[in-house]
Amino acid sequence: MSEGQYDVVIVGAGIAGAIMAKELTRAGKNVLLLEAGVSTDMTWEGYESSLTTFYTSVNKEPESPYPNNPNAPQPDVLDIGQPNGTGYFIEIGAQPYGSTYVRRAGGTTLHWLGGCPRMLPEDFKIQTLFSVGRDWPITYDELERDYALAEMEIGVAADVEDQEYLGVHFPPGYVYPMYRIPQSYSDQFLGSRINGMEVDVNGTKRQLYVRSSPSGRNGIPNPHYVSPRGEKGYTPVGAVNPAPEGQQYAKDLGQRCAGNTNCIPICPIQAKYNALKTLQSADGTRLEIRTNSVASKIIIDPDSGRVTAIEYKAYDDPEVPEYEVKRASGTFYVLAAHAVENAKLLLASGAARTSGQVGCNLMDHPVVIRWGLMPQDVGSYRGPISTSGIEDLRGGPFRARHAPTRGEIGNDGWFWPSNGPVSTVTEGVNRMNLFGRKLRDYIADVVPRQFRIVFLVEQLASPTNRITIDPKWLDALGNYRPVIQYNIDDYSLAAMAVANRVCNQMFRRAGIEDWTDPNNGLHTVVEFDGEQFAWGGAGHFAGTHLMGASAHDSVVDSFQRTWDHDNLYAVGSGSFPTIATSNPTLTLAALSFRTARELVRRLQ
Amino acid sequence: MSKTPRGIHNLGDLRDYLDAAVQLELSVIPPYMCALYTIHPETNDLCQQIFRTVIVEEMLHLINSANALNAVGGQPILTGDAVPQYPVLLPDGEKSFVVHLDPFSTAAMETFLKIEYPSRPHGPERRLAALREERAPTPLKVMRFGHDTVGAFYEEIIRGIRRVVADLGEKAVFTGDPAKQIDATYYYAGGGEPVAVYCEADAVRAIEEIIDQGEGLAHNLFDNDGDLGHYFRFDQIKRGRCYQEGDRPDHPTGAPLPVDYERVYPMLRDPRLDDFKGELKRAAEKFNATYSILLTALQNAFAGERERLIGAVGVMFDMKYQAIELLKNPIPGTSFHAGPTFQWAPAREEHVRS
Amino acid sequence: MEEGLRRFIAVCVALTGFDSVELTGTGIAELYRATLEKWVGPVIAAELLAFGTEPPPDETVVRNGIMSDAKLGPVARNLIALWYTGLWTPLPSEWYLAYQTEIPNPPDITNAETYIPSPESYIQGLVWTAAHTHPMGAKQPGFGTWAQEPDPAPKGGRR
Repeated sequence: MSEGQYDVVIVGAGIAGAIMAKELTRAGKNVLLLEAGVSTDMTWEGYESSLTTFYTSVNKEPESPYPNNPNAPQPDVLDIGQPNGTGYFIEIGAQPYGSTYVRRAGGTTLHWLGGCPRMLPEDFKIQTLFSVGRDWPITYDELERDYALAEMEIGVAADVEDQEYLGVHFPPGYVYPMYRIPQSYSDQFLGSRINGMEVDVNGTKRQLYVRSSPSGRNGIPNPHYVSPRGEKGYTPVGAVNPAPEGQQYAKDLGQRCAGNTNCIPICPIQAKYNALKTLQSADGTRLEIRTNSVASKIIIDPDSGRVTAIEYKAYDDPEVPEYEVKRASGTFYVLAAHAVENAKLLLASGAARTSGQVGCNLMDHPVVIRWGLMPQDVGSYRGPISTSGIEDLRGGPFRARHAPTRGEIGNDGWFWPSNGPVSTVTEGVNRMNLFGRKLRDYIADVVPRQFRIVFLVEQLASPTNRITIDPKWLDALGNYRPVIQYNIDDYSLAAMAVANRVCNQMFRRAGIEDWTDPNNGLHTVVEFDGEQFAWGGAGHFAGTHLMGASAHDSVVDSFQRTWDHDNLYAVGSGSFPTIATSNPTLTLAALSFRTARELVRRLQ
Repeated sequence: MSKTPRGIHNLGDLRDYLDAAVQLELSVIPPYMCALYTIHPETNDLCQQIFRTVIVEEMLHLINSANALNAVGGQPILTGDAVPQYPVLLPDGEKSFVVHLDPFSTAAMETFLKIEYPSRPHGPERRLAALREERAPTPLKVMRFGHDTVGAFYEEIIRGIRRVVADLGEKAVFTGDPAKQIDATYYYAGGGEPVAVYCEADAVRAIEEIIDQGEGLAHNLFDNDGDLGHYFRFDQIKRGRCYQEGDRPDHPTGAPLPVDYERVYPMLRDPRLDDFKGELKRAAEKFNATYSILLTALQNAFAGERERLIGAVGVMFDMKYQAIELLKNPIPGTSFHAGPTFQWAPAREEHVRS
Repeated sequence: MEEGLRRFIAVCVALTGFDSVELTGTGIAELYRATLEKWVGPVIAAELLAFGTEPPPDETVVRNGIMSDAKLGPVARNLIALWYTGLWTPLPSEWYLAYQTEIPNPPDITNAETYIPSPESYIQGLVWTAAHTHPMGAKQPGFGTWAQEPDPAPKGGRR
């Protein structure tokens, strides 16, 4: 295939790019996929090497299996709050931006949790209903079938009867591809203590329930499953293993979650969905993937406003800043490089300028972190990192005054809040002066009771939370590094305070010994209404090229087409006008199906 | 040739054969596990993958056999006297090979190839250095039937199903409780799903799947799922080279398959509890207790408590980690390492979970 | 088993609360003995190994002779952390200053950082066994096991 023959050029081999590539190639379209990073994880051996890197990493942060590539650098949790120049992000706001992503084939699905809740119908129209934030140019019902397609592609395990709450609805008879993942014993114990607990949120009374979370990880297939395309049944997709016929021994790995408790940063058996599975099932005869190719500029015809090429820098060795500038051309162009990278590329190219909103409206889910000791052994550090959540505060009239919030219950003990159980050993040996049997008994007593819960809080789109670029800050290949200005406003802070009080009530009711220590040095601390919270990012980037009904106040339309450039699309959670309270991947996957369908239509 | 095969002439014979099939499948899994778990971590990667996939599929064969036995009104028994004691004799007319619990070695590979493709002429046995006089092999029930090969044994089962159904009618044969059939809800494996058996066609398919994954139907390299048959997977290890599409049996021409028989824990052949003392003995007892929990769970699952099978997968992982702990321990005063003894140890109350 | 290794394991039995079969069963005892010698040298290592008696030393002997000793205490605490978590943290420079004469070929500690000696070091970390679970990302327990009531935690090692 020579240059210019592609129907679509896609930038980024994460989940959005992979879904676009699969849908387009299977519809007979020729696709070029440019990936800035390396392709290490696309083979079983390469994926295993990432696992080994994880094992020997002292800090097991989300990026630990995926070392930084100076030619396509990425943020790292360890750099948060460090002086500018230490890490990839240049921070100039009141608060550090607490989230990270991965730049290599597979994208951040390599280290996502796998949470797949749908957005609530009310999340699509919060301006209309609550006079805050923005409305989406589409409704839940318009996106419903695409949600089902995304649930098929990711392979979501859930039971519909658990997920019908706060207006979320499904077509009659719908079932998820797989039955829900069993809830952990810890979840069951918590539920036995707090289910039905009534909370009062500024006049809205709600009963809380520990509810099974829809997950992009393999469980028992539901024999009644019928895909939106009419295919019956579902076979869980195991590890990617592009070995010759008969030698694909790893493909049966990961057909069920085996409880590695390591969804973040790396599922050892790929029972958790990653975008490489989607890439693997694209029509390979129509797909060309070029890795080590960093898109650096969108070339635009000034007269027509149409994109004529993507300029990219192709390099061989991640450690050597030598590259060749190349161009790729096609009929359509899709930026699927991540909310930050898409914005950077648009800004660097002077593209999509009409609304002035490119890079603005950066959102995340600020996360309130609480931890404690359960009154009995609940078998912590077992199972997927999270199997349940508290969904009852995700919507309601209080949204006129403060943000909604979603609770995510951990099975990973104190790993997130305090680097447990390593810190427990340090405590036992160095402070409690334990050794031998007494140390072993201490660990056996404390570690299986360690519990954490986090509450993810909605953040509204704000033009002053933004990504910009500055020629002062460039990476090894001379591409821009993101300059981030970020803060959390009172709308979200008030909800963090609500979540904190709900946790107090929950801990008292369940008999959980509170060990929350916002000042343990591992978290950013904010204060509101006299309360201090430990908080962090959720890895949920959104809003940097948000969609809307008009070219004047949004960057893309409801098909994620840039208003300014008829053949340029920017896809992913950067298109979200609101982040609401759901993990964004399922929704951005659904939007990818919508955009792919639109492109197939336009290519006919 | 020892004697004329007994053959399947009536429903009772069919049940006996399927009962033996269950025990046969059960008896090959521990030797494969020993080979796999004696390989040092982070070495012989492809060999490990091959053993892992074969073991998972042997579990599937066990379930298929049990489904067929349940379907014809029998009752799969996996506990007590039904637990194989190594060394064992598999159904070979010449009695020319004995199945041992051995570390990963050329001798073990020779035996495994005979198990998976027993219609080959069997050469003389190689001997490993031994700590003590070898124990006499324990025959399995299947010996009574006098078949020359495992393949012939399974082929007789297929013929027997057809024969008995022709005599009695399908309804009179498939009288088992459908609620005892294990399907994909309860067990999964890369090589395929268990075949739930409700009728003649299901029963034939369940047994054919066993033959297909073992030596390949019509001796094809690849089975119906595009996977290499077990025989050919093992043959690659023996020959140090992978098969690729278009290859003839015995002539793999694909990529080299690195095999390092030195990076292996030197497990004592056919270890038994009596070989160990003190902490080592307690560790071996713990393994046997776990193994016995697994066998009990499987038997209960086949008796109708199907959800037991989901928990049984967890017990299999426990066994793996306990076996590896034993295998890393030298037996004091010898050049051998300890290993799992796979002996029946009825569970005390406090060991039972799930 | 070689005598030095036997002594090393015997000391570690007293320090960790795991029995000899459990420690040997991790497969990394030799690596840890080498790690110890790499950072404290053979003389101080031998001093620690002298406690590797048969039967292993009791709690008072360990407390008096090792844990409260200015030289051996920090070494022993590092060794416990290594066994439990797989992490070796550099001993403080003051420690090296005090005992450099007893280390024949002192290691270069100027850029020494906390590290994990091998992938197995992480996987075999005793903290996971002690807590009746598995290391995050390894020794997977199997589908659905996390929904079961946890194994009752036995005190004092092997059941």
